Amino acid sequence: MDTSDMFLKALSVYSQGRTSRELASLNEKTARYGISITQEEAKQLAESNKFSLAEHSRFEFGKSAVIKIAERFAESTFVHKREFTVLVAELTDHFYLFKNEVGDKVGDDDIIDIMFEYFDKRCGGSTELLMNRYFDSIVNFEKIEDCDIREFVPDEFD
Amino acid sequence: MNSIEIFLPFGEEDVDKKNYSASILMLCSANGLLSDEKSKYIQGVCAEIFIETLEQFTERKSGSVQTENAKHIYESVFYRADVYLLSLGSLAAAVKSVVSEDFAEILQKGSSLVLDKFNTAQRYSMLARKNALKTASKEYKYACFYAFDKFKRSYSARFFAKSIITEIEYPLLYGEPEYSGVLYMANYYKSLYAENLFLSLFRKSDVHKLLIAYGEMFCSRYTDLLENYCRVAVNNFFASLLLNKNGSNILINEREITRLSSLLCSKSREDIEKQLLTSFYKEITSHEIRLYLRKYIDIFISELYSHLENGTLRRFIVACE
Repeated sequence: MDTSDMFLKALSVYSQGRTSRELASLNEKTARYGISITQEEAKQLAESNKFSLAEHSRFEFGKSAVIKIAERFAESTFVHKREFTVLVAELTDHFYLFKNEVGDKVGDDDIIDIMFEYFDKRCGGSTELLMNRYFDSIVNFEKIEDCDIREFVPDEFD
Repeated sequence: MNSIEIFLPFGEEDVDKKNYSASILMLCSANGLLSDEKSKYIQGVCAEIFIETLEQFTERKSGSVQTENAKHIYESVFYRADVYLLSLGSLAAAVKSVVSEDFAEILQKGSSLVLDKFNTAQRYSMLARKNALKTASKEYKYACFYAFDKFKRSYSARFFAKSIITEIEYPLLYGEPEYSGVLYMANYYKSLYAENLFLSLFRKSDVHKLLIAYGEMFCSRYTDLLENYCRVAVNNFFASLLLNKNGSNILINEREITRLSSLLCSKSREDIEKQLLTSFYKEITSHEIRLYLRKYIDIFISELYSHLENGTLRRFIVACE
């Protein structure tokens, strides 16, 4: 391990601690959507975020994408309260894939916004569709018009 | 001698020149030259600048970057310190600076020096271009006429300080400079300028003739060989000085090589070295060339005797008349 690896690892540990604390205090924002995250779930989310970062070779230094995703997707009409943390973990993993594709200079919020748009308006809350069908549309930031989601959700999701 | 030099518990050989400051910090810390408090302070300073640079890199729009980019940015932060500490000229001075100076100031001074080095590289690249040979290989032409412009267009001292993003293949007399980034470029072009200045001392037709003869030794065109032209010329130039020929003459014939062999056998190595040094300072008046080629005299003498022993003198000194 060279000096840069050691330095990045030390900063990552600090960053993970902060993410855990911020996740635990997310409830203030998600409560109005009837969603609450327990301490244990916050820990699990921080852990899965750490895994996704490593999996997609990313280094986190600022506000974590997992927090931003949790805050944004709590609004979604397709979120099941009990599966919220699983969904956030999955979306965070997908987010890093999108991010690697579009490059570091594209803002997190821009990617999360377009993911949310497709998730809510085209995918009917399916993360599989988001990844498998709309990957290119998302990384190319293709705008979608407001429309009836039933037109786009395949039969098995009806 | 500086007092700190005496007590240094590590030497130049322990330091990684390509990661100079990080390597010195680790050695100082491991050997008790830096207190825990000071080490933590330095880590804090570096972390703060590193995070701020990451923010600038993502235009404050992202909370993460690809690890590869994070590594480049980490290296770029420490590169500023590398440039400053290397400019101090010795390991002892660098250690003294790390131990006694505020690391934030070291990084600040390094940033200014990076800019100076960029200007130095630019100045020498222009001089090297001005004195470049007109007929040469594409690698040489690329180094003289295109590489710096490409570097200038793409270099980012803030985010990718160690990358040069230009493919220089033309070798120098002393091999690759052991630095990276703008330090590499400044050293490369300073050397290339000295080499081109040296080549410009001779008639262009003579240099061309010599290089053609050199290529023929390998049954090839010299432009197809990735050889340093200065080395070919300076070997013949030094041989010429030993033969008491006119210093501006680098063309040597077979008979003269035979005479050189006899001369080497009849005189001591010390006498040969002395003669070469005297003639060198008499013939070369340019400060830049003197400074650059002086250390090659020792290399030349060693190689000369080695080729004499192996019977390969004609591979070292090129006969072209």
